Amino acid sequence: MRLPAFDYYSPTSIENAIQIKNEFGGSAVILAGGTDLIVNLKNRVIAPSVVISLKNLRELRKIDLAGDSLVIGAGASLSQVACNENVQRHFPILVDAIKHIGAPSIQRHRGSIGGNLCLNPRCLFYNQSFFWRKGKGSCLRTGGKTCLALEKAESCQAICSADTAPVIVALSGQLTIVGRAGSRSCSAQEFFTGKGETPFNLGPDEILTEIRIPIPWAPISSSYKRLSYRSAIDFPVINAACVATFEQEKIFRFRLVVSAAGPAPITLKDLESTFIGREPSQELFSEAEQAAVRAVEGIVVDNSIASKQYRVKMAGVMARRVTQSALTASRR
Amino acid sequence: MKKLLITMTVNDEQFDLMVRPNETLTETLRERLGLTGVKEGCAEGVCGACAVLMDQHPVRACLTLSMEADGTSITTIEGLASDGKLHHLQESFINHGAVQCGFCTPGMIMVSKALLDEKPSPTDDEIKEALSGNLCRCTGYKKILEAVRSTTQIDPKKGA
Amino acid sequence: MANPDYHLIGKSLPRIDSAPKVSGEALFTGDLNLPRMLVGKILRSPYTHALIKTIDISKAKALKGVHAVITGQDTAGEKWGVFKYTRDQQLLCVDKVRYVGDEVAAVAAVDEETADEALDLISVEYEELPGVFDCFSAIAPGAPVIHDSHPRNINVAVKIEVGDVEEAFKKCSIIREDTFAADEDSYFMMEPYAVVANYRSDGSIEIWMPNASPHTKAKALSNALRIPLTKVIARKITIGGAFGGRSDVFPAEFITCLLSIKSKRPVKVVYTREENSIATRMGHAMTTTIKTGVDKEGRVLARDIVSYLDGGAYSSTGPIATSVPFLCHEQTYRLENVRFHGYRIYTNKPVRGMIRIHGRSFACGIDTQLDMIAQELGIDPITIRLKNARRPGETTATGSYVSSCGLVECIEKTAAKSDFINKFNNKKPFHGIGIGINSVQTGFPLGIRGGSQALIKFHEDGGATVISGVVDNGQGNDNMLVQIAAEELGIPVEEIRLISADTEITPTDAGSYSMISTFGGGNAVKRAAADARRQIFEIASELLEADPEDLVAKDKKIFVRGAPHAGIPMEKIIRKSLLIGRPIMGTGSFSPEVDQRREWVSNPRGQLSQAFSFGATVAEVEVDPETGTVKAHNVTCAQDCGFALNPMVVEGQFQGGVAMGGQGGMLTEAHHWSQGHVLNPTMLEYKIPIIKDMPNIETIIVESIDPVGPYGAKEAGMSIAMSAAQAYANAIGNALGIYFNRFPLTPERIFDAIENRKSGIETAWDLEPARVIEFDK
Ligand SMILES: Cc1cc2nc3c(=O)[nH]c(=O)nc-3n(C[C@H](O)[C@H](O)[C@H](O)COP(=O)(O)OP(=O)(O)OC[C@H]3O[C@@H](n4cnc5c(N)ncnc54)[C@H](O)[C@@H]3O)c2cc1C
Ligand code: FES
Ligand code: FES
Repeated sequence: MRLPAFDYYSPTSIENAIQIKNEFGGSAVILAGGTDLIVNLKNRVIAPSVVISLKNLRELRKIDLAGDSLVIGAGASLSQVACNENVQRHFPILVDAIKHIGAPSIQRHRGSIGGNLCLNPRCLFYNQSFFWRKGKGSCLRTGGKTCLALEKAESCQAICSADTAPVIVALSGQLTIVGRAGSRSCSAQEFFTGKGETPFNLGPDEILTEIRIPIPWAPISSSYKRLSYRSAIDFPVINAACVATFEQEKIFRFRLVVSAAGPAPITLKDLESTFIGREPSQELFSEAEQAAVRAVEGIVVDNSIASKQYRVKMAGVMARRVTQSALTASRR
Repeated sequence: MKKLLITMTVNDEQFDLMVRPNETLTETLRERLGLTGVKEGCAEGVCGACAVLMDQHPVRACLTLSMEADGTSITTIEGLASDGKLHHLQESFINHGAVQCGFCTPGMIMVSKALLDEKPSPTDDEIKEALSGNLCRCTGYKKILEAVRSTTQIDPKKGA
Repeated sequence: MANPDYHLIGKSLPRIDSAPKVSGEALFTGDLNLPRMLVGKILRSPYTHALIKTIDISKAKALKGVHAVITGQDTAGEKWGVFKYTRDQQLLCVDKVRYVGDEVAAVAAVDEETADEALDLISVEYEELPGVFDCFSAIAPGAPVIHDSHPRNINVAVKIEVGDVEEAFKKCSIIREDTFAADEDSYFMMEPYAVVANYRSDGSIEIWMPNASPHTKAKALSNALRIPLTKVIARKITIGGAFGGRSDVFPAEFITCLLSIKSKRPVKVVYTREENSIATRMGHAMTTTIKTGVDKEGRVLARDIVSYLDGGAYSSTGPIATSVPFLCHEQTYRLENVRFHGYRIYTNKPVRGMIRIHGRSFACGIDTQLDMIAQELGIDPITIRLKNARRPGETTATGSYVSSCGLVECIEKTAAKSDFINKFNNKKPFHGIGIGINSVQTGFPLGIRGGSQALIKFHEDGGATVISGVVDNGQGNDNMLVQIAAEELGIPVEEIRLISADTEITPTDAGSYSMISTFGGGNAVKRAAADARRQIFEIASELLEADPEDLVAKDKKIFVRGAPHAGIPMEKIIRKSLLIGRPIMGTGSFSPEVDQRREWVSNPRGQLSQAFSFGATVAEVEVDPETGTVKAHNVTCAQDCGFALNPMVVEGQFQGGVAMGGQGGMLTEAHHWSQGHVLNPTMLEYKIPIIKDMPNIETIIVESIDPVGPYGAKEAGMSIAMSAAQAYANAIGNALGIYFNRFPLTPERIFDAIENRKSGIETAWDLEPARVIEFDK
């Protein structure tokens, strides 16, 4: 499979990158590790005229403590992040999520954390070859009028399949986005729009430059789990992340995020207040399960190898399991 | 789409090459340099048959633009033997019956090499983790695991 | 087992083809690069079923860099079929396309970009037709007809009836009828399909491609291209796996040749992974309804089986594919009264062929149902199998005499090694153990008949070259041939060269499908070597003044038994033979003794194959009941392979069989569909197993020493693949107390069966049964 023709730039500064991005707008794409982008280019699901490589942007690969946050450059490789001492010390959940991505020989050294967050949402009717899609007709995201997965859908229902997405959201990450107008900050949750066609809160002139994760003042308990049919080379069927802090034996802060269900990670907002002050119990875990099932029920559609019904139920199981595991694990 | 100049060290030999911006490392290695030991089983990052080492680390040649390899050092299966003698991993794959059709073999060996260079005595689980991105349809993996495992206990006196 | 009489045979020697493979030197078809070679690309139907109204190739032809464009008009509608009565696939579609992927046109151009562009410039006007995508709708009255010649889309109907089935049912104490179904599975050999064709000015054409039989391919191409067979030369090339998926003739070979003829340049076509999935072959989906009656002891007295196989758009090996699941079963189990109706049904989906675990629903159904019956009778799975398992010296229902058979030993050894009975009786929650048993043929006639021949010539340094038509798909046939020749000639393996699978040079061989290579090709080489040795001994006996009977060939020397120090070096004998004008050339041939009157549809009776292999596999699994995911912990497999010529190679075949049949075949491997479009044509979503998920595998080699196989060898690995699938199915069933009847057992299916658990000894799902089809003609 050959790649379509494009021009290639490898700017040496972020300003320069923004300049090029601004100049070509939507027809320019960012290449970080390329482990997602190249496949999509080969399949012609995107057809940019310009590819902007981040390879010369060293500044995008730094991982530093800054004040009360850990700042991870969007271009940092997954192995860099997973091996970083501060990440390991403060956010083992992120290390865990990274270990689940694809396979070590695919992404660890090439794949980037920014590329993972910006992973093109996936759909069984979209992630196919050009030939395949010709027979089925275009879908909403490839310029057609109907969603091939859900006839009545108004927007693309592709699945946010990134392993780190629910984790960064659960850790209340803040993303730094730089564009023509300068730099802005956006919460990880807001970064995901929930629309498959334009899944990220990113302007045509903007790039993601860093991920800031607040370092909690108290030890946190956390857990990430995902379900997949193979233990590597497999996107999640469903994944979930839970982060909590305690005061004495009671839950002080709680966040549960379920993903790989729809176009954006789903935060179970209600639980964030209702779980406060309670102690871990089977009842609580079941509540998490039920809440997750309710939250994803209207969102999951039949666009993955696993059926809608199964994914909905598994969202519940994964939610319960991460909740239980986070709330009963030793705290860090 | 102008061709661009890159410089790469491939199997210890330096090359200046004019490549298309949309050229993958698989294409450059196979078609320009004749390194057909780099196999293409899927062209989309799944099978691992195209695995080569880029600055010691395994990468998928089919997912890597040659432009991204500018200035790097690449090792392919053809670069493993030295002085006409096979690398001990290669020997071990032969002696353990880890090769059947052989299509996955170059990728398997390259990824194993990267592992052993970084960690000379990996556990079985570490070997499996490292090789989890390489598909083999013939062997059921058992003899591949044995082949890699055995090189971790090489007695230097006895040789490979 | 090491036999003291042999010095190389029976030893785990490294394969001769490994060194070039580990060094990257081995060339596969896609690696070939000939001067002036063009890139070929094929335009395929994007529709499941449509009429071709017009094809306009003018723009493509005019594109700079394009050297040939062909359509059905260039082929005179030439059709291919394995049998005369199954010729239904046009090599390039002329008037109609029948599945997504059907070949419509092709181009040859200077590079891939140009070829792609040229394909885009071909405009085809289609008129879409309604399609049918499963067996039940395809045979329904009024369903769209895919081939006008085949009403109700019934491609092949096989009927076998032996004994008095109705009478026997009357004597049974338990009768069950259950229906089992399985989705399509696929080969996913690591090497994607590729063809290189090189037409030359003398009117001959060379062709390279992964194949299971160069001679069959050459013959088919000679017919289709109307070039004399002598001038169609299929060349040897390294092959990246077959598993049954390279046996048939594909339009691509013909198309590539045609492009080369038209452009007068070499042409290379390399399939994408998706093309390899949709446009070579995939496995059949299948529904099987099994009615079994047993006596009080659990002996099967009667069986009535109906199978529907979803064959896709064309016949391929249809008559064989329809019959083989039944035949494997009648080899495995004693059956006196049995009836089988097999229907292969056309659908608008990719063409189906035979695969390593062909007919999962059949074999897994038989074994699952046997466990259900055992449960009803209160006996264990081992006992009921031992009661019904095939023994040597018996004859199968359709009349094949089974001379060697170690099935009972396979069952007993796997059961003992895995501690089956104990684990079965003392079950841990959500842990399960299960056994499957199976048998496969060692060579049956596939369209063309014939055996294998071999030649051996010698070099003045005492080395030899073996010339054999046997092809190596990756399983190790090349090594097998050389190891046999080395044993017989007493020449080290390193000093024997092999020329194989090249139709210009090597004598005929029937091909490596149907597990015949060792039995047929191995025997031919063994005979050729014996013939050469006889000639060598004749000369040596003159020099040594000894009786040829007393001579031994070993370590490149010929000596009188017991006196190796006084031996004559081989090179001396070879030189002598030249000197005296009696150059040594060994020839040998072997044709299995099968009943030539036997025919798949019209006469399914008589000796099918001269030998049969048998296997048993035990799987131990653990199920996560909340998600339905399965972890396989241990697999113990035993196969009667006759004799293990090279135990290391045999073990490798077993282990590969467990991966493909059990771990993949029963847990994850299935194609998913949307109206005839396959949703997972690549191995990201078609989940073949990875190293991390593999269980610990114990292999047990059982040797029944077949009276005819070379050194007693038969086939290695196939009966493991299938029995592994059966074992996994039963183990998962045992873990949950559920009898599964839809395969593979994906987490989703297992979860569903747990949620909707039935009471009693029932299958998990109510499926529409396959019934005998009444023809209203
Ligand atoms: C076989 C296979 C299996 C995989 N399995 C998994 C898996 O299990 N889980 C998983 O999460 N992923 C998986 N992936 C997808 C992918 O490899 C990873 O998500 C990886 O982390 C992507 O990072 P990258 O740097 O390679 O991204 P790229 O491919 O370079 O980029 C991905 C997308 O993000 C955009 N982008 C990248 N960086 C920026 C930036 N700084 N600002 C704005 N946009 C940007 C790109 O334009 C592109 O659209 C798999 C891929 C393959 C081929
Ligand atoms: S060819 Fe690169 S991973 Fe398959
Ligand atoms: S040896 Fe054939 S794919 Fe691994």
